[in-house]
Amino acid sequence: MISLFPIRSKRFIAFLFLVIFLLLSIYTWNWRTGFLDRVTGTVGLEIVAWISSPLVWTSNQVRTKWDAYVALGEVHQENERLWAKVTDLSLQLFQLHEEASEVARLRALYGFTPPQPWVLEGGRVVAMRFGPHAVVESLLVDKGTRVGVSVDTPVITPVGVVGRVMRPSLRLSNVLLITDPNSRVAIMGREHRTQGILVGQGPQRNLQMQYVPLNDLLKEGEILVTSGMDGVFPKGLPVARVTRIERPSTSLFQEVEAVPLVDLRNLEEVLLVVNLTPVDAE
Amino acid sequence: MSTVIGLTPMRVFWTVFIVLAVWLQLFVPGSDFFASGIVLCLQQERFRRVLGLTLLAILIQEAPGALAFGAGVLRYGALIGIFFLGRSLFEPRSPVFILLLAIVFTILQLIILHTMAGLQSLSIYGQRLLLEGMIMFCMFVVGWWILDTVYRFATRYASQS
Repeated sequence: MISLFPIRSKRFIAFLFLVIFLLLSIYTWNWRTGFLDRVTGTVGLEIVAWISSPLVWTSNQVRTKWDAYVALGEVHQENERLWAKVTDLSLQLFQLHEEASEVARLRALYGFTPPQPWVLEGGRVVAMRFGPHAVVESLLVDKGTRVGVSVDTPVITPVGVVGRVMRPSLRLSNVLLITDPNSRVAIMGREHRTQGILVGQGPQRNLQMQYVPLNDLLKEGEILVTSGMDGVFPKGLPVARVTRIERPSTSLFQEVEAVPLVDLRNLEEVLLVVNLTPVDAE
Repeated sequence: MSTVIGLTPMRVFWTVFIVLAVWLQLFVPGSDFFASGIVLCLQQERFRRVLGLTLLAILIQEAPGALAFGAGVLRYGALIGIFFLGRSLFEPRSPVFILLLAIVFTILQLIILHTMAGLQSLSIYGQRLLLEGMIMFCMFVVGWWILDTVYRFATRYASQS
């Protein structure tokens, strides 16, 4: 058999060097411009969206039909539970209405600009960590630039923050989860207002709140909410609950661990916050 | 055999393969179902079809990942390179060749993904990368065997009709 690439030949070595040179040049050029990332991101995700749409549509239909007709056994119990929750929330709402009107009066008094209202766009989770290049904690959502999603669009659920969009296409978005070690969220304690940065530690591991000075107040069980200082997430979204606090004598900062409020392994639907004005653009 | 719209059993085979590969990747996180198809394509088809399938696979795999463009080109480029190098030493359709190809490809994939993530200063979970590499090795071998069987059936059907 005649070999296609005879290793000993000078031509082969020259060819190999040429290929490596070309690849490095393209990689460096793309690193500066991001052109190929944008093109492959848009085109590739659209191809995935087209191919996966029949399967996603069928599974949605089956799930909807199942929930509507077959899984009715638990509806009565769920109804009772929801009524109890509605009663509880109504009581909380009375109290919050009073406080909200007070806030409006105080804002007017001090001339504060109220935060912009958000527009939420619901999306279904299509896949978790799609493909071999998904080396970070991520998921695919079936909403894209067509409904106003862009890079860094916050992704949440009614329970708390999920992550932010890394790469959107017309109909799909790739979302970086808060549990990933490359994720950073500016947060603060809901009660003590102590600020810090929430960093992921990997799948099924607790989050870490960093840069909390030793003397700052924070307690176990406190809910951490977004501080809005990162210019990505709006202020006040719940993210995690503090589980452990240590004050080492050898460090300037506290060691704080927290668990995400959202069960990120079993996500089916998410909400995308699409009309946020970045903080630095205001 | 070809219909009015140019549909041949082989075109149907490769179209169904692409659709199934994407669907399976939706359910198995971090997996690659295209690699075994590319190897089968290298063994059985013209290089034009290999190129088409590889380009499509690169686009599909590069898009949803966090890595900058290049990892897919390197991975599939390495796969094609190893195939041609190995072809001069082994019989390309033998199971031993496929096993060795799967081992070398898995190792190269781990090195490429680790290096590319390092270049972007991305923190990755090495243990999981290793575990998924092993799963991918198994899927590569089993996937090739299933594809090869179906492909032979399809070619027999095409030649009979």
